[in-house]
Amino acid sequence: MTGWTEVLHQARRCTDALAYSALARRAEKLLVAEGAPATHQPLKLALLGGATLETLQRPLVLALMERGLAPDLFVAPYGVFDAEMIDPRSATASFGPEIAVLLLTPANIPAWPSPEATLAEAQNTAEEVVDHLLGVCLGFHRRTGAEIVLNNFHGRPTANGNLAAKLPGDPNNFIQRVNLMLGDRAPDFVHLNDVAGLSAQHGLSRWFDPRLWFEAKQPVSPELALELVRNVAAIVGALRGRSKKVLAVDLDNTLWGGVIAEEGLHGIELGEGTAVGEAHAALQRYLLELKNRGVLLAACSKNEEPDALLPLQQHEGTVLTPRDFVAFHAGWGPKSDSLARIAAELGLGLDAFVFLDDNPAEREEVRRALPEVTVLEVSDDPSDYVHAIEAGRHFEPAVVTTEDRRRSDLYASRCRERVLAEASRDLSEFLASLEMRAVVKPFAEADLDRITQLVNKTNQFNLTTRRMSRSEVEQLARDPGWIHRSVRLSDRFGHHGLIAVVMGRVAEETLVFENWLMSCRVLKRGVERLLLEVAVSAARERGLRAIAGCYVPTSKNRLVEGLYSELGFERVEHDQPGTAWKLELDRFVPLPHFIELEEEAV
Amino acid sequence: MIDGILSRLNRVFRDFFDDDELTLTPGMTAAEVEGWDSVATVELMIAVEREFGIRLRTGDIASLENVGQLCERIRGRMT
Repeated sequence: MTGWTEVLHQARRCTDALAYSALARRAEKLLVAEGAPATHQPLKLALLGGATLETLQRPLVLALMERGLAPDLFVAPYGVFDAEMIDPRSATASFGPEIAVLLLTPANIPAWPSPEATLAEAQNTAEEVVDHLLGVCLGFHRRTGAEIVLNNFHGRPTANGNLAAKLPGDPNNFIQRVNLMLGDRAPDFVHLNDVAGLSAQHGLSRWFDPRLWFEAKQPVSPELALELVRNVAAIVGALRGRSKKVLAVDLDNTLWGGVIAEEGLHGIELGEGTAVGEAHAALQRYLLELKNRGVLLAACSKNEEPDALLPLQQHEGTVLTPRDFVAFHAGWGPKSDSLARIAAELGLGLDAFVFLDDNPAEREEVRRALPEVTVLEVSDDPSDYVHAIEAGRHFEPAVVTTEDRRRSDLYASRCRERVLAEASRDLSEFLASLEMRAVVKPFAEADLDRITQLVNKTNQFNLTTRRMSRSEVEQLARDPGWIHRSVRLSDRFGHHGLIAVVMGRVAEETLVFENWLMSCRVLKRGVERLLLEVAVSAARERGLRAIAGCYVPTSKNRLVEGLYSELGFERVEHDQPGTAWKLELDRFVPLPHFIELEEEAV
Repeated sequence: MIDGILSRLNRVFRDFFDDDELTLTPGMTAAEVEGWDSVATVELMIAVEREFGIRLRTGDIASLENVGQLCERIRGRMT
């Protein structure tokens, strides 16, 4: 287990995203070689979203392991979060996650107000968006029982300058409206991942890298991916009771500046009067906020007890009083002994403790004697301490307060029709509501570049993964011995462009599919059913009697392993890797889909 | 200059993939380096930007075919 001790120790201290990714790769190897440490708590977690999630996958596993969890992580196919959550038979639903993490970006906001929208109009559109998102969450929660971690949205550039703040129709203004409404309306099984706050804290221009969005659909820049992953891990950890419960603090030079036993009540710095005093008072105010929401404070000081208590009782700058502490230990023994005694008094494990001390020697002593205790690494500047406590997200709140409960009851009893309708919608209703329209036609000269790009980039929905150069595509497009079709799709949210192609050779009385693939943007929309229908009529027009095709497995196309079988093909003998399938045209039964075929606009 | 870039790049790759044996050649493709998938590409580019103090442009990443082209791209962005 030395491998894990080392990797987890380094992971906890790591602040650099790339170094963390390297650790995450080591952790992945360890997981394969020896599994998770036996003390780690198993957890089934699904990750869904509207962006590339693979880059976050390994770091997320490690961040959860930092918190004593052993995640079994399922990553949904790219970009199909809504259909995956609505379809009770989807791979994500079948996986049966305890917690589903849904990572969205502004690109997933399904409706936007018009630029001239009034406040009321923007408000309505925001409600529509929020009800849709929460409705999808509610439906998934009802079907699977999963808790859901849903993020709010980072801002985006606006053309309206500072006026944006006053324009309800401005996209950035609208995002803020949606974010507030998400917070107001999220029921108790939806846990908000505050990406808006996180991106603001680090700066939007660092958070979101447009290059890597255009290039690889990265929801967050790699430099800050670690922040996102740790934030999610803190929320998930809190839901599984992994948040820390006690903050044990040193007193001299931590809660106040100076040493009380030497400098006396009027010699130490605390509160107004000096910058250092203000910094210590600000720390105390933060500790009081923690205490007020249920974090236990313990004092652990090398002092005589009356000296140690004096500033908290009598100093005019003190914010905390002795009553704010559940345990108060002043003495001359090692601090690890004090902490162990406090833990015993409180009946808590030492792994529930975080320790804050300005003195590196004390920190080192505790770290060596009690490795279970989380020791905060801090500078000697008290202004840094609030951030040091916050940065580790050790006290992420998990308890749902009675107020939250009440709010979600209200929410449920008001029965917001739209949310409930959304939640109870099945996949076909969802698909019908998209109002999809498709233009299907033989390959056109103007489309050859896009077709070639799809052929060479598509990994998931790709039956044979046969890559082709542009000239090969051009050649077969002209060859009467081939039948080929491309699909353009649009829906009520806009145009998706050219997203699917199929091409096959005519061999005697059979159309043999050589290449069949579809962009991951439109998975689970029923495009494959439409495309087969079109191919069947094309084959019939030629007087053919059957369609044949192969599934050639790769590491990425498991998604379509069962496609031919679903579509009614019969399996036939095959001596190559993968499976071969055949459909007699007179036995073809079209499957329902919700896409209207459109004549191309001229 | 390309040789210099290649040897610095080799160091970046060795650190990144935690493999001291890894030796890059200009003709090498992603498929020939174990672990160099699309996930690794994004992070590798950030590591490259840090090492060379450059900023790659949109389109620089997807269009790369081999290590030699990456070196050329780095040289282009350094000037």
